[in-house]
Amino acid sequence: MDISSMFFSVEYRDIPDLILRCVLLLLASTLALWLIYLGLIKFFPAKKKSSVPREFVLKLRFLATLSLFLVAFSVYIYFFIKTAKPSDLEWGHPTFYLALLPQFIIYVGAIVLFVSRYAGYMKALKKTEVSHA
Amino acid sequence: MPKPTIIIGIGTSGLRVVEQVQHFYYENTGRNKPDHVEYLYLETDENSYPGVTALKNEIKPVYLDLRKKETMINSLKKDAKLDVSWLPSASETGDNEAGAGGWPAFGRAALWGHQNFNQVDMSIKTAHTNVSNIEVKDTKDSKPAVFIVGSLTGGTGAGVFIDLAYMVRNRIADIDDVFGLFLIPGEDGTVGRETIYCNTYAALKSLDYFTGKKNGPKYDLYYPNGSKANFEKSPYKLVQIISQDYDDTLPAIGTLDGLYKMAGLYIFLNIYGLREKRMRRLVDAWGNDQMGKYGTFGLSAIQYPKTQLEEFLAVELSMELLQRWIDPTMYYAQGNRVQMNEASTTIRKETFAHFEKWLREAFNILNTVEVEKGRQIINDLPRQARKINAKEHGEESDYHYIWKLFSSQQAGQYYEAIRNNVQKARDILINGIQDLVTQSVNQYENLYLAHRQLEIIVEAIDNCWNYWKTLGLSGQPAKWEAMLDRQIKWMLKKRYKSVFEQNNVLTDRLQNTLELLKMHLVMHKLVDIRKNIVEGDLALATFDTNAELPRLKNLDEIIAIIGRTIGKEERQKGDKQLNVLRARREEILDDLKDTSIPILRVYPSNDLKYEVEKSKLRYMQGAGKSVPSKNDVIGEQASLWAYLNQAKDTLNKMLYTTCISQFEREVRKHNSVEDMVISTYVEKEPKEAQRIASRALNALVKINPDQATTFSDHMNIPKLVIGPDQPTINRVVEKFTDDMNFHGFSKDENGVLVIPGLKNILVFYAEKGLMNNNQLFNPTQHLRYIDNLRELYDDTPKRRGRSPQEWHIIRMPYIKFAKEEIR
Repeated sequence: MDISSMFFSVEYRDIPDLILRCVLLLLASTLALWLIYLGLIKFFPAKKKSSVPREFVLKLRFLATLSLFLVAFSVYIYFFIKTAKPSDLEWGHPTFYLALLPQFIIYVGAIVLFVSRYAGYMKALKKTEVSHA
Repeated sequence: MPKPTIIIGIGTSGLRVVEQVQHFYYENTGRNKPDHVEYLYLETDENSYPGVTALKNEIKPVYLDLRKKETMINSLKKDAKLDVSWLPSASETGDNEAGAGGWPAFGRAALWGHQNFNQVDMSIKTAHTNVSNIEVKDTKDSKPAVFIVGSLTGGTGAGVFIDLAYMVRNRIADIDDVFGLFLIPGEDGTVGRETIYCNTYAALKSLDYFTGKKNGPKYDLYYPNGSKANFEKSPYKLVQIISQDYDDTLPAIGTLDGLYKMAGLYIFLNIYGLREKRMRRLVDAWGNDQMGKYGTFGLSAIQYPKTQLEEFLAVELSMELLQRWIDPTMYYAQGNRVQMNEASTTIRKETFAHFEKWLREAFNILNTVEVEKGRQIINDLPRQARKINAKEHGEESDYHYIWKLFSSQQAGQYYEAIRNNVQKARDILINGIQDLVTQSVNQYENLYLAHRQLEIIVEAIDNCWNYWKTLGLSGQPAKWEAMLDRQIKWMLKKRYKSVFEQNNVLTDRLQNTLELLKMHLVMHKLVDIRKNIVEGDLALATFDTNAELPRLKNLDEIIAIIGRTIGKEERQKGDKQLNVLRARREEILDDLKDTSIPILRVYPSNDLKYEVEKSKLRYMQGAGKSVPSKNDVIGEQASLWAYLNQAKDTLNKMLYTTCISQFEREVRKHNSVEDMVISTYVEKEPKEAQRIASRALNALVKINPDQATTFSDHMNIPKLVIGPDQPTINRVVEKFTDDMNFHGFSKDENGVLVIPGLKNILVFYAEKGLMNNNQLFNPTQHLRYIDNLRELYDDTPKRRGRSPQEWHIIRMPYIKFAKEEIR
């Protein structure tokens, strides 16, 4: 099996294959997230004399990283669907959905991560605001 | 140039008279004195000081130090060369605490004791030198004339008036013109005032002892400085005696101030030309035994009181200005009235912003503290972060290393460095608060606004303190250690190594901990500042510039002093030296309305209130402003806050004198009160003018104990109309003779004294000294109540449980106790 079939196949083979695809996609996503995050931090560093703590800037950059990742992942999904033959899209067959499970997990996982981090930061910000007031 | 003249006031009365001289001179010339005149005054009461004119006061005080009387008297008694039989016992205290205590013997002792004698002698010498440095048109005028003026009722006047005249004669060789003008009490009111009547009687007898007899006793003695005095002539060439009484049924002058005014007017006229005119006539009178050593006079005037109006206006403006400074309801911003409560939110917001800025600056200054030579603490943090992340610190753990950096128990590290420099942060806060208050007071001229700002600063400190407490901060080192433990644990948590940000993040966290450390160490300073603002007695000051922290207590004190200076509350007991503008305003009004003095006040509109309002309007238009400001008083550049923060015990006097004198100057500069030609009044109201002129024909002393003698006029005894020019005087005299059939004054050369430059006043003067039975006036014979005085002098010692000899020693220090001699 070649690499493209690992990332662009909508065909369900068996459980070990599904697990393998899941793991590979997760690794690729993590790598992408790290690269985007690193890129953002290096190309858009925190201002040296900013009154905003550096740690907070890093947290904000991570939110931006997640946003960019979701955009990139959406582009991937577009090509993922586009490369499939219409005959492969067996919407009425349950195994078809099993084959899409890795992409689904990453997509939902990224969104959940964004929302939870965002909520956490907002909570911390509110706490600081209240203290200042 | 006219004859050099020295005027010496003795005691408080003498000072008041010299002040009046200065006032009259200022009124007519715009100067306090001419170059050929010197003013001195001798006083034993240090609380007595010269009053105010717009110019620098020219009256030079010579205080006769009477502290440690006992030592002083004992020291004089030890000097074998001195005849000190007249000295009272060193254990005596006097009738009252102030000055000479009402005892002439103490007054005389004050002149002789300590360094006082030399001081007075030097003052006479200096005054003589000053007035001698001018050119005189005639050599006979080169010797100065000296006028000694005071009352004979107190210890100082009655104690020094004879010695002083001889001291002048001793210091200025061959001087002839030594004149005395002495105030005595009127006939009424002896009950409860025995002391002043007894002093007067004793002084008149002492004067007569040296003056009355042609071959009288010599003044032959050694002075405390070792010099010898030996005079056969009487101390004074002529002594004028005046009182509040008239030698007639006319009502007496109502107040002592009125008498001071008349005495001041007399001396002023003498330095302005009257003395020369009088002397030309009196030479003949003396030659023909028509005048002796004693005299008195009658004096009256018609005056447009320009100076009083100017002073009144100055006092009103001063009150308005001081009121502006302590107005709790409003202040002025760029000429517009701003209600304090309406601006409250803005003031609060701005003051909070200022406080935040100072705090930021204070914290920033601590960033520059050096931990090693050339390395500031803020620049050391990234180095430390790198060391920690690279584990190059050599300590057993990262925790331990960071703990050492920030712990209060570790010497030579951050904690100690910040603690040793926290003073700088405190100084920035103090400087900031001081600058804010200084600028606010200078700009808005309202102390309540500054007060409010200080209250807001206190509130800001409280807020800051409370916020820091919510962060878990405390000023105690033990609590800091607990907090540091939490901080280190947090610092060593997730450090973003995966994205290679561990150094930056740790630097940031170290900086955060440093900020907390600064808060912890600044907390105590904030408490000190707050406490000092709220309840400090002594101001905290910055280490380098000694800038003082403004305090609410200090502001309250200044506000209270200003309030008392305006006269917002009644004078309290012991406040007799307090200068109160409202009281001064009342005094001026009382003076202007005083009809008991022989000075008729006239106004162009015949309405005082209208004149004041008109003058104020003219001033405001001339000065181009709607409200007085500190610029009128201390100048634009001077700081009002610094001015108000001078010594509190002199602030009242300083405010009072500066405000009045500067506003008087401004009022004059803008010509707010215009001159008036007095003759136009006489032409309009001849009856009233004649009534006041005729009062000058009555002497200012009650005579005629035997109901037979009275003063007599003679062509050699001066009687004058004094005015600015001959035509004015002619118009007045002609109006009197033609319309009123009043011939009391003439317009011929002998009856007129023209003083060019004499403004807003017309004076009527009549000298007295010859009695109708051709006797020469002598107060010890002709004073109407002289017998009453004698009886009082004889009876009072019995009532007070003193022997006649004891009584004599304290009252009559110039004559040895021998009944036959003084009778």
